[in-house]
Amino acid sequence: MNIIKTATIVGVILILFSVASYFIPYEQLINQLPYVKDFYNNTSITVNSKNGKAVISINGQGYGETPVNVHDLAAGDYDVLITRVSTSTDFYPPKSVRITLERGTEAVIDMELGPEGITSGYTLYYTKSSQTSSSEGFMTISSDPTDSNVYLDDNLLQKAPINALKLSAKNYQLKVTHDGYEAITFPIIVRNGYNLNIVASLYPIPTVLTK
Amino acid sequence: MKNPSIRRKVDPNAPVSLLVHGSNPLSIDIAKALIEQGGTVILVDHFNAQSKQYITQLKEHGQADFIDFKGLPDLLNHLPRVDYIFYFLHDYLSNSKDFSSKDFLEETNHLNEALKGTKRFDSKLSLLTTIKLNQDLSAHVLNSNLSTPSPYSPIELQKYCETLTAETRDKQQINARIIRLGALLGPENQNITDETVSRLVSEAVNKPYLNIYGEGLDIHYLIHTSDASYGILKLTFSNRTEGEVISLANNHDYTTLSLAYKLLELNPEITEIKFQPSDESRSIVFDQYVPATNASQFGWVQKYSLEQTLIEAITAFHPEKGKRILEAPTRNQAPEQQEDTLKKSETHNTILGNMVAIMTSPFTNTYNGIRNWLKTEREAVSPKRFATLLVGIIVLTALFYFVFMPIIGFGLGSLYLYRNTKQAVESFNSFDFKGASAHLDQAKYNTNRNSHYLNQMTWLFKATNSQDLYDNSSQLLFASEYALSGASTLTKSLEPLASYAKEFQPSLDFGNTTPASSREYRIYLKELQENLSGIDRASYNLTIATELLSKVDVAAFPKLLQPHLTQLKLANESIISQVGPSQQILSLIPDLLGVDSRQTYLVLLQNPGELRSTGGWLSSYAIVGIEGGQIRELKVDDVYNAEGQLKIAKKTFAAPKDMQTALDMTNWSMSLSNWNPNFPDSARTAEYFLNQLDSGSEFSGVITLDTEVIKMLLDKWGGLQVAGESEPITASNLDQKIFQLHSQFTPGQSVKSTFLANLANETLKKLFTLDFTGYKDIADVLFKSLNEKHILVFSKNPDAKKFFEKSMWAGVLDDKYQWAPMPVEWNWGANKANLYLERNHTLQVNIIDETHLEYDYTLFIQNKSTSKIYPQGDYENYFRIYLPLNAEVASVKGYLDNNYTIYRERGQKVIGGWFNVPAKTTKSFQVKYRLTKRESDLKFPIVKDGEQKSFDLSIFKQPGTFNDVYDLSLIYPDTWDAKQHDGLTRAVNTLTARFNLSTDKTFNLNWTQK
Repeated sequence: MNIIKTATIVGVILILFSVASYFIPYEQLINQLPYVKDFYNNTSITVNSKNGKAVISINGQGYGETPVNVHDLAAGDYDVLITRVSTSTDFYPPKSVRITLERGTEAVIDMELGPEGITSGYTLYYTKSSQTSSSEGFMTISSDPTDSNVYLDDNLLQKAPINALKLSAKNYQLKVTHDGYEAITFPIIVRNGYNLNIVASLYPIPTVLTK
Repeated sequence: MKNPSIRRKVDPNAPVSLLVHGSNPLSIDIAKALIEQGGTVILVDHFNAQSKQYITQLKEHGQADFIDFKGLPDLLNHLPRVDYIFYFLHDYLSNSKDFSSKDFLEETNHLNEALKGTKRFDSKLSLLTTIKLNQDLSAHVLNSNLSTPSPYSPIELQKYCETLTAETRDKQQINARIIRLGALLGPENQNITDETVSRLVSEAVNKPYLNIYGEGLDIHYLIHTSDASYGILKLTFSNRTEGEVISLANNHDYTTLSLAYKLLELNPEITEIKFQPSDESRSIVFDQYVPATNASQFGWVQKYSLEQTLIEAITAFHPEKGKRILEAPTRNQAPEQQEDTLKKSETHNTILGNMVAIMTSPFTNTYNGIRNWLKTEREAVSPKRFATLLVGIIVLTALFYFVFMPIIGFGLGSLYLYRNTKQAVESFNSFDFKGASAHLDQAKYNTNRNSHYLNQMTWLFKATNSQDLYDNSSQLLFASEYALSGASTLTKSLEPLASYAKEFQPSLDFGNTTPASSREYRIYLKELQENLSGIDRASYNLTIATELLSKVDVAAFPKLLQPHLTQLKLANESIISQVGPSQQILSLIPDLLGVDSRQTYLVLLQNPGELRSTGGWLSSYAIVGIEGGQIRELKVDDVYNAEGQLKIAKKTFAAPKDMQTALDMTNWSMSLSNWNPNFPDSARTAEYFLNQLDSGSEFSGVITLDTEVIKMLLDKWGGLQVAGESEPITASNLDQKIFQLHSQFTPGQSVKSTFLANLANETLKKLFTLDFTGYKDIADVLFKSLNEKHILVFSKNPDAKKFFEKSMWAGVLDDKYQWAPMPVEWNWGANKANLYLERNHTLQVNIIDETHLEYDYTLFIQNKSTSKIYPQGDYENYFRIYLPLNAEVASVKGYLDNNYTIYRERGQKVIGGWFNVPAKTTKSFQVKYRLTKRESDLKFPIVKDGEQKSFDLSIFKQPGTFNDVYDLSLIYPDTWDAKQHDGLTRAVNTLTARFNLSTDKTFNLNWTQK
């Protein structure tokens, strides 16, 4: 009887704690704790700009000129505004990039801003995906222009957009090409339990007029 | 002494209890209770006057007997059963100061016999000792200032007996327990074993003051004799107490000071408490003593309060004084003094306190139980027990984290997810997009939690070899998260659109040119423009979600869930097709609704009953002007009125040459403006006519819609009550109404336009009263109409134009259609014969090789008209067929008198002539032609890319035709291997399909060399 009563009490306690734990907002609480939240979030956003400097602001907060590396932001969605530093105002329209940060991940924006809103470069960030029993992750890629060719380690995958393609979790070299545009190549890491989101934009190759 | 008589007297069915050292008031109390329950009691003690007196008392009650200790071994050998053995060691100990070695040995032998008896009879044994001696033992152990007790002292004897009992219990698994009694107080007990308490009670009786030595903080354990006897019986009968050491005393630590105050309170004759110097070494020790588990943990309840107990103790000493105390009023001046050593909370006296105590008692009891369990007999924490507790905590934590939390969490999460989704749908239906977005965010949160809990249960899937189920479940949750995220972002972004739809009140209606409202909705359109990035993001997430969901393997799930998942996947497939177009439409809405400047649209109503190139006879038109989301201009008119006005203005227009040749006419009119099957061209023509009527007419776009669209809407709504009509207009009577109006119409009359205006007004009114589900129905009708070409859209907005053309909603005669023959009919019979026709197309394409194709196209038309009376009749059809420019025509059959023309139009070869089908007949038309690739040809149906050969075959559906049956077959060379045949059935070297041509059809085919 003593054992049954003890087991019942223990079982009831476990059930009550389980129910209570569902309603405790762990992430919000941890994000309030100084130092702990940095360790817990472990995120980073890296912004680079080619052929010139750019001023970066993230969710309205300024972070100076590129290269910019911001650590330990809380998980969530961020609007990164890239404004090219130039003596001519309005020549290079600013570019706004929306990314998602998950705990323990990094986001990279490597972009060159051109006139009339033309950009070249890539944005990549991770979002959580399903865990698989084998070590695999997902990759989603969209491009501008659409229908660009996507190569993985020099092998043609298919034309963009590619949605949630399952790949082995490891490093790859990604190349995006399109007729009439400059190709871009950059390294990626596919991680188990994450979907790697890539947005690639290509510069059009100027047309040479002949007489 | 031999006791064969006892053996004869013992009823084999009645429980037998042995009370060793039974000659004491407590034992007698217990014996009486046992006898009253129908048991047999045998007292074992030394035979003397007192024991004789006790046994005489007992025998009057029932079955009782007495034996001396000398007869104990023999008794145990002869008794048939012994159920309970009560060993009252406490009484023996309290009556002796020190023992001789012989006494010690004797006593231990008695106990040994009792233990053997317990083992032999499988009875329950209770060894009754004292808390006081255990306390003293503790003092000697912990306080080095005190001398070691004598080996034959009561302390040592109690210690020895308790140890012997405990060891025997451990080794032989006998049902034994040790009950340590507090100091017994009661009406017949003058021998209080606690010296201090005894002294205080005595002074309370005899003196006007009480002496306290030291600070009075030493602790005493007391119990009323009746509570003790009830407690002993309860603890002995209970199986829970097996192997336990239990303190049977009031569950309250009474200090000397608190007892003194209580006595002061009870006895008004006591006037003061005097503090005397104390023996400090002993008082320190008492604070550190922790008694064994109190009997209250095993269900014993104290019945006699301290007051009652003390009064009875005083009565035992001095009956008269006790009586006076009982009768005296409560002493109000006695101060209630809080002490540090008081452990019992005062809140127990209040209702709330009692409730709190009851609710927390299981937890406090558990805590106390663990605390006491950890400590050994020597009151120190046992390492073994501590390690066991630690392992237990680890196991419980693991159980909590890996079993309870994920299972319960998953269940709760699923419940909340269902509730959130339901709430979101309700919010959608009432156009509360903000609320819907909040519910969707919550649903996403719950899905995320469920993913987390699923991961925690990975071990379960591994253990049950269900990796497949885990992978697919995880993917399903992942897809759901993306879908919910996308849906939430989409609803947030569409909030301005929802507000617009909810609040929109048209300032004009058809037939009323005076504005009823000046309100604009520009602000909502601007907000929608700003939210376009959110819509893009939502579309992105939804696309990923649908992609993932399509890859989920339903067969991996339990059979119970499979039908639901299959349904979900089917719904998912319909969503995939709408995400892209919806996103683009949303991006166009602000401009199309005049966010920055007025947009004026020309709407042409076509009647497919009289088929024309772009869908049907152009019977009426409307002009709609929208600015800032508000209707600024609204007009509907019959096309003949427009023609009449142009005639009056003496404006004439030359018809295109091919039209003049075909229809033998020269003048062109607005009602015939849709001669060109390429809708953008026909749209410009219609616009041109109206410009001639009103030179200021500048249209942002032209839209055609045929009566089928109106019928589909009426079908959804079950009909509309239109002003001026006696019965509701429904899908089934709309055609008849139109025929009636047409037959009654004369140019200049407004009957038809009035009816159409009223119908349009009712339609608008209906649109503005719909809820979200209603709009979803409208969206379904619109999408269907656009896909089936009941609606064609031409827009001058470059983005919109590009979008409509890409979606094949613009009626453009694209190059891609040239690889299949494009038939275009034109009803010139002034009737609605098309409503009575059935068509069957047959196309056979024979691919000789990569550079040679042969086509054989046949069109059967059956005219089911039963008479020549309007709207039925002969089908007089000017039939054009569009072929590739370099098609080598081998034969043409079916034209009237075999008379036809061949000419070039828009880079294609056109064959035109009369293909008439009289009423009640079936006619066929056939054309055969060949395509041969020349070096100069930039385009050819077969495209070769290395080893791969592809053929994109697009079949054109003429707007205004309905579900024509189409038989398609493609024959290809034996050396080709069909890799992709896009739904066509493959048999040897033939690909076939039979379908209803409700929309344009495209087949992307691929072969490699075998």
